[in-house]
Amino acid sequence: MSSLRRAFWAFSGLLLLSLFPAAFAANTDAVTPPTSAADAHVTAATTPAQGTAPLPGAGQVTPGSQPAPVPPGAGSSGLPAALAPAATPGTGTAATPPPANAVPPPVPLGTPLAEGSPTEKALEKSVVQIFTSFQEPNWSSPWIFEMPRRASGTGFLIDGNRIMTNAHVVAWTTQLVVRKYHDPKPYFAHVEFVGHDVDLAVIKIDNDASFYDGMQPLEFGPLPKVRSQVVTYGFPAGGEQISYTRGVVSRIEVQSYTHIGNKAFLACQTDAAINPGNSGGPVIQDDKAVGVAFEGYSGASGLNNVGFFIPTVIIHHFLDDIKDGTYNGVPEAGLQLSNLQNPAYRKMLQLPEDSRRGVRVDQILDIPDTKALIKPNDVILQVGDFPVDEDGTITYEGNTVGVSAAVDLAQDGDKVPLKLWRDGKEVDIDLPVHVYKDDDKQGNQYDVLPPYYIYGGLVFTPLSLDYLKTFGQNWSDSAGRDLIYELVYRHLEKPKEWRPQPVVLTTILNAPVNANFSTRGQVMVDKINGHRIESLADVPKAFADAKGGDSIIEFAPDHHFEVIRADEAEKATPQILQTYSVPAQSRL
Amino acid sequence: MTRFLTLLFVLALAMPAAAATETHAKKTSADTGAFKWENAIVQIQVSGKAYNYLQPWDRRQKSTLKSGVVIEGHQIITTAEGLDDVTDIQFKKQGDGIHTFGKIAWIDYQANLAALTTDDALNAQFNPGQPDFWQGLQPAKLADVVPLTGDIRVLRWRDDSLEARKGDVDRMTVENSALSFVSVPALKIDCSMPGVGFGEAVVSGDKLIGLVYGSGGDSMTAIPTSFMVPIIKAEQAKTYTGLGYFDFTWDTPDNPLNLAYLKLPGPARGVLIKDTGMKPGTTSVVHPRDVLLSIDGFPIDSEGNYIDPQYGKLVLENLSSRGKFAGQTCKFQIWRDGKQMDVTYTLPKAEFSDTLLPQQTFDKEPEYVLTGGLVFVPLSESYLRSWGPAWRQHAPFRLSYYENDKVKPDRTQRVVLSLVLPNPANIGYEGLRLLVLDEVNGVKIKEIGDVYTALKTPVNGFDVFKFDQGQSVQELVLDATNLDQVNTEIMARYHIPADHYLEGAPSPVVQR
Repeated sequence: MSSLRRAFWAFSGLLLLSLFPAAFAANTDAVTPPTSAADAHVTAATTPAQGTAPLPGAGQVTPGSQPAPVPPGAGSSGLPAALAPAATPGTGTAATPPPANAVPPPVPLGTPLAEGSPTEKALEKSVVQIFTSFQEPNWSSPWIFEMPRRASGTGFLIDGNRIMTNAHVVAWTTQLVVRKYHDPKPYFAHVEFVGHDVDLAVIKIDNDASFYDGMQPLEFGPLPKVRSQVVTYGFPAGGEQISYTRGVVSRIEVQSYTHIGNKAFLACQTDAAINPGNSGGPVIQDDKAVGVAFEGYSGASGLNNVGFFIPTVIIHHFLDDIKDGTYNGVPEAGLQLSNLQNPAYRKMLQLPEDSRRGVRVDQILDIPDTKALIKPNDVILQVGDFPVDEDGTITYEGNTVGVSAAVDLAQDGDKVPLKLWRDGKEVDIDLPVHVYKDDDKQGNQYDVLPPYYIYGGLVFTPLSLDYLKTFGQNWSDSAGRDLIYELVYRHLEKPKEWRPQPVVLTTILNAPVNANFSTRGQVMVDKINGHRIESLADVPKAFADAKGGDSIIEFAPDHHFEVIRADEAEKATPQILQTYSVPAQSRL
Repeated sequence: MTRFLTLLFVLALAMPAAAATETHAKKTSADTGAFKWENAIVQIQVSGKAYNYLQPWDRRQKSTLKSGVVIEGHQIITTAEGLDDVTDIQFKKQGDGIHTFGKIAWIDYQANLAALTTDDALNAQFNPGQPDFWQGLQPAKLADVVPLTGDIRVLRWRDDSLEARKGDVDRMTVENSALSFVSVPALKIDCSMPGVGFGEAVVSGDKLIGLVYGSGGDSMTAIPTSFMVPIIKAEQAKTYTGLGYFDFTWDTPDNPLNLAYLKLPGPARGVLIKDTGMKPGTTSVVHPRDVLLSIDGFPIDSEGNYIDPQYGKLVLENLSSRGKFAGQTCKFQIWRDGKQMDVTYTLPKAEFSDTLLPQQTFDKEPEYVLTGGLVFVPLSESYLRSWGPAWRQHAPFRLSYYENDKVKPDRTQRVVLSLVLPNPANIGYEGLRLLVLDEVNGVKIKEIGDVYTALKTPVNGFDVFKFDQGQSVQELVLDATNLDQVNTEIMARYHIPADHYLEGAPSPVVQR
């Protein structure tokens, strides 16, 4: 595994393993072609949005995770997260655990339902199997779509005649079919709302009220206690019959959500088996849904009995967000924090000697509200109702979790009360928090068709993680190093040079007009006709400004340039589009 | 009868000797005429210091067995590989069991060449009464022009016999020197001989034509004597200024519209200058988008090649070392802004410090500064090779990407927090590593020595370390008031002999 990938995983505090969304049953459909590791368009064998090594980016934090046995170099060369945990900075390794001699409070255990009990049977009627046909775009030839594939997952009925499931179950879907308990009829459904950051979605059945006969919506329960028992309901490995697994809640902490790849939110770990096909299914305790199953470790990881579910605090955040008809996402404070365990630093910041509270603001992202209110070396003592300990953790319902969990409770545009320590005094502020979109391209993108522009056979598209993944499984080794630097590092190290949407000449559709180009693609565009290219929209405008009949395209970072005849390129473009069955010159 | 028997006896005695001669002739089948290569090739046993750049206070021993060829002036020519940080050189000749102490007469890592000679003082002390090492050895003749056809042999000592393998010259080409970014001529040879690459002699008749430095499968690469001879002569005359190089990059003008854009009429020719000024502190006479048309009268084609009178088509970089050294000039004919013009290009000296990630750090112990458990080192390729030969894939991406950056006058090195040795004084920082340092106590860090200097002036009793923008941590602080005691504890606990090593620094322990 390349150093870059090691850095990504270690920074997230995960072991160097594949973490997959507990997505889909094995696909036996003849439509799906066999995949191969060489197929640069496929990111996972049968599932879209399967966990891939995320870029270290804003929001990717996992405080309190078990320490990653990282080789030299891993972790600290990664990027700062939008709101990093106050774990050991730069590595994402575990924050200091609570003192070993602390006596945990008594934990009421969840009541396991008697097998076959009326309650259990009623619950299972509300659990459905979801079949999706999905089709992903090709990010390096963006007018092309991959072969349609099929997969399945699980969902369950909630209030409002909605079915809750995971976002990765419904991503890129072209058809959703729902099967309910002991009912052979296929029910068509559509996605009503999807939150790819939190990996949740609600779907609705198309025009068939009879679907809901005999079904009761599941109620949501509270955050379960660690060591309490839970049961997962779902359809792992497909199958015709619902499956149940029991286990305990092993741990609750902020965890990477691999569907999007560069975010982390509160998650519950369980040893109840969660396998492909379980995705989207309810995790039940005391006949209530306390979570949605969504991720697990693959067998190759060496870890056994480790699955994850999304707790109701995240589910409620999602459901509250969509009440206004739009899903915004989970906002971020835009702060990189560093633990304050070092006594010298605490002394320098004039913190009271007997205090073990506070994390230090190490870096501030380019978010106007945050930059206006927060300064480097401010110490965050409290977020909302949660005092912050020097290792960057808070106590959330009896659990020690990263401080980001407190900010994740806010909705887009909310003001989060912060108690700060600054220049030797406490300061109270209300920090507006917003959904941060600048790091979208550094995570996995879904349900958004890749933009492109074609000119004279030259294919331009924005630089993104999805584009880099088209270089194959080991893209961090095979993609151009300059492209990786541009996507991952430029905006942090050299914000003045940063482009909001760096553009790549991804490929050249061969035609006489471009036959002499020595560059054949996979390079970043610096300027066209002297205009610096800040986004894809700049490209057609720049080509329209050809001087002397020729367009000159300059590439970064090595000053290589190519010239193309403007009139010939314009004349050739329709023919090239027709030759390669490209439906339109652009998708901006 | 007696005379007949005597004759038979004499003949019987003569026969084994004849057989021995024949066997010996097989082993030294490269002999032609009077020249006996076994009198010109010696084995060289080299010991030296090996370093661990992740724990820069570690020292180990490395050993290499090389081959060399005797040349005029009581010297032995060999490749420079393995001779860095040398502690001991011993020669062995002609299958003779006695080892003779040697030393380096001169060495040029950029050219991958070295001349060794005997260490008379050591030999007098430890090998008294032994015959003169040079007795019986014959200096080889070095070919000024390397033949590209005809039989050649590759020779080396093996188990006290001179091993010879027949081979053919494949071609002369130009590639990066084995130890350096400088482009030098390389002789490609088809020959199967396992384990070569340590200065084995390539001979044609009674002349040396190359020294082997690389091998793979049934082929090997040698430094041609046509490249070596001018250097040897200049070294012996004490006029050698080092290898020069072209400190610019270029593109081939595959797209004719590119040349038309630059208003160059006629057929495609020359190369497009891309980036210049790789030699720090210089102003290049060529600019980006110049078209380089010829060098010293040799036209450059649109592939970047010229026609060498001896070796045919070679890439233009060869003209930076074709009988020229650093400080000498080349005549460039260029096309710029629609006009042809001549410029004089002075060859800059190739030095490892020209690049922000020095490719090698030879004959220099690894520098470091240790304070409060924080270990700071200068970033270099030697450091990144700790992740293996494929360090570009395996070393931390951001550190390896610095090879794309240039040396600047105010920042000649990148200094890295390589490691934190845990101690209560640095609690909270123990997982940090591989962060690039920007300033210490308000002092901008140009190179590793600045860290040592800046630590002498803490700020209000604290040492404040700031890292480059975009690093995963921007700042950390240590209490400077008890740091001497902390450093002493750490050095004892982790078995570290000194809290810093800097070239030219006066003492190994920080005094406050």
